[in-house]
Amino acid sequence: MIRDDVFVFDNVVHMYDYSDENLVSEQSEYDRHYHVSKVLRRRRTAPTDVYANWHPVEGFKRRWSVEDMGRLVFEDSGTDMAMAQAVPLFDLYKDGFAPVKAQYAFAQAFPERCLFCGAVDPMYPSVAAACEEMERQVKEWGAKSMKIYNAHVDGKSWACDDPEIAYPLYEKGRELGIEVFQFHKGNPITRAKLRDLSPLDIEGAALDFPDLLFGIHHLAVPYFEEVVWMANRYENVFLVLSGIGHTPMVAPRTFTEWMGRLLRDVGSERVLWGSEMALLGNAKPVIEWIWEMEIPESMQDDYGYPQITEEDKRNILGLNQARIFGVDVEAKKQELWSGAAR
Amino acid sequence: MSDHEALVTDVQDIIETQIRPLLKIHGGGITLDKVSEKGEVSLRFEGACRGCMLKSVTYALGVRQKLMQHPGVTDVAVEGVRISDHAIRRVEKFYSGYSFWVGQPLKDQSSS
Repeated sequence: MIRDDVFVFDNVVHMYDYSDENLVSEQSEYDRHYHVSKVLRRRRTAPTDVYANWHPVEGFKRRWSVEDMGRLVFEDSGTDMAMAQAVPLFDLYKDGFAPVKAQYAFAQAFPERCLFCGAVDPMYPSVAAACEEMERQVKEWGAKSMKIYNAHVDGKSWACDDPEIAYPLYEKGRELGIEVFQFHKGNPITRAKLRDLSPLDIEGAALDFPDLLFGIHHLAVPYFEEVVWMANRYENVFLVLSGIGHTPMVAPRTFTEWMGRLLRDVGSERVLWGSEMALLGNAKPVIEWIWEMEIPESMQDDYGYPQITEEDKRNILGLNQARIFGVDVEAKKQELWSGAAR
Repeated sequence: MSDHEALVTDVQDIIETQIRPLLKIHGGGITLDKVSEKGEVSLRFEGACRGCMLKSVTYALGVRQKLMQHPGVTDVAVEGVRISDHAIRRVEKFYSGYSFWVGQPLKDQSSS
């Protein structure tokens, strides 16, 4: 919580496993190097910060522990609740970029503050096996959502509107009570083709499954224009600021333009904060920045962007995620912060 | 009929005759939710307008300006549409003196 009453519900944190043992092949090292080094300039550390004790690149080539993540997310960053999201990158990491069982372990360690988002891939090894695994993650581990990554480096990329490959997942989710599917789009973090990360394949799925919600991560940059149009057209599409949420540290005007556009054409009710902690370090400086941000007069004049309000910021930082996953914010605040717990 | 009831009737007429027919051309529509005692008009886009990227322009030129021309209407809001005051002031400035009417309001047609 920041400012004593702003509820922060992070849509996406990851228990990463960048250990050598998790790499699929020698080539995976190229992707890992990219993952751990590309964000260096956006990662903030302080001399007294435990995270700074690690080498900024080498320190991340490991399997994160529940204790480290709990401290980072729930003690140091001002985050009240988070969703631990698995990332099924099985073409590079044996157990995935952020393994399913590691996210489950984190959610189990903080049951009052963390929701578990599972992950499956219909190409690893098959649609039927993915559906079976989804059922296990939901029934045994209490998954509340599913994360999808459809672009791969080994020729196994698939489309999220493929009736034979993708739709069985949504049908299975529907059967299991999973109403929220989330997709890594744009923002390539592997050698996979950017074209395979186009968000346009979400459109058919959103149309054919109007009772499900489709979350698009990273604003699908560089496909920003496309996702704004899609979210504008389909009310069952929401957008997550994951990955690009730290842009203000480097390019505040770029981020502000994105936000102004979203406020004008989508609305703050379908934009969710997501930090990607731990990769980009402690998210608190960015959360604070968003809380203080304004849409400058020049953008209001040039683009008709509305001023961002306190209500918008509360929606984005936590209330939207709480609404989507049925969390009673006032009850949760009471549970977490009443008495000496704070 | 009270002044407020008369205002509601006029707003409904303007929507029916001046706004809805144009929106319908592209498969869109609009619903009147409320006219407050202060003259604030609240509406909702329907059909194709709901998912249209140009709904902010439709709001500014095709809905707001038409309704604001009517005495007694003090503000016009459409659910889910937000543009800056700068943009609204610009529309008001540039279209000052221009008529938005594309035909007679319904009540005028019936009386003529």
